[in-house]
Amino acid sequence: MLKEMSNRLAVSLGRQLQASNSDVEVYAYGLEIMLGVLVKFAWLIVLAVVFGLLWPVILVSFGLFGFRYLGGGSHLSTYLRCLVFGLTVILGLAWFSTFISNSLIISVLLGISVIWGVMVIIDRVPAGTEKKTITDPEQILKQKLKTFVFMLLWCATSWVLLYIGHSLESCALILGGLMGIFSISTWGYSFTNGLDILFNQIERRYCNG
Amino acid sequence: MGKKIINWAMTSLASFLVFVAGIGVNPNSIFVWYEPDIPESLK
Repeated sequence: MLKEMSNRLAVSLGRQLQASNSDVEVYAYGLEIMLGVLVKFAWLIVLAVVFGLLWPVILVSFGLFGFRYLGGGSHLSTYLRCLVFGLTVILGLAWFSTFISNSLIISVLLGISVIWGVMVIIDRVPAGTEKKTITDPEQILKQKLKTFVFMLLWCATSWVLLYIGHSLESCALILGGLMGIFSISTWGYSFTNGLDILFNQIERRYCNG
Repeated sequence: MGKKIINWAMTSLASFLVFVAGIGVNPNSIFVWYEPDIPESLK
């Protein structure tokens, strides 16, 4: 739906500007990105406010988006799946973070995340897809370094928050980062593949008959 | 005058969309769980 809408708007813009077909394709791609991000964030903010989870949602998102933005990771095959799954994961983690207040558990979670994070950064970053894969060794090294610097900042912020007694905020940030690391790992790829297969079966069962 | 403003707005929007598309193809991923098809002209 988003793709169709973006294409239609891009064609209309291209007609006004007498642009070439390849320009229209670029406009459509830009529109799809812009609308997709806007719709996702609007839903996220509205649902976070409705459930009273705005602050944990912001922190989970910061951890998750930071790792995903720099490290790449697995993707679902349609925007609707991405929207539903992304919102469920972020809201679920934000809600879950409100139950963990034990500093020891949070410290263990941070420790596990850091060890796993280092392994994933060395082994997987930049984790590409069929649509976008980075092959330039210099670029690969740059992405690894950027992700590693982000992980240091994320780890320091989580630790400081925990140290000054903001365990809920610390836990939300750690859970977001942990999810980001998971989605870059091979387990994350297998999980999203499995999820896509499941969504396909549900669609076949309920939408085609 | 009105036509000029509309033309300026359209051109600005088109430039902004090209800029957004450029962000989409760089090594950093701005998508969390879904990635649109990259147009041939940007590959």
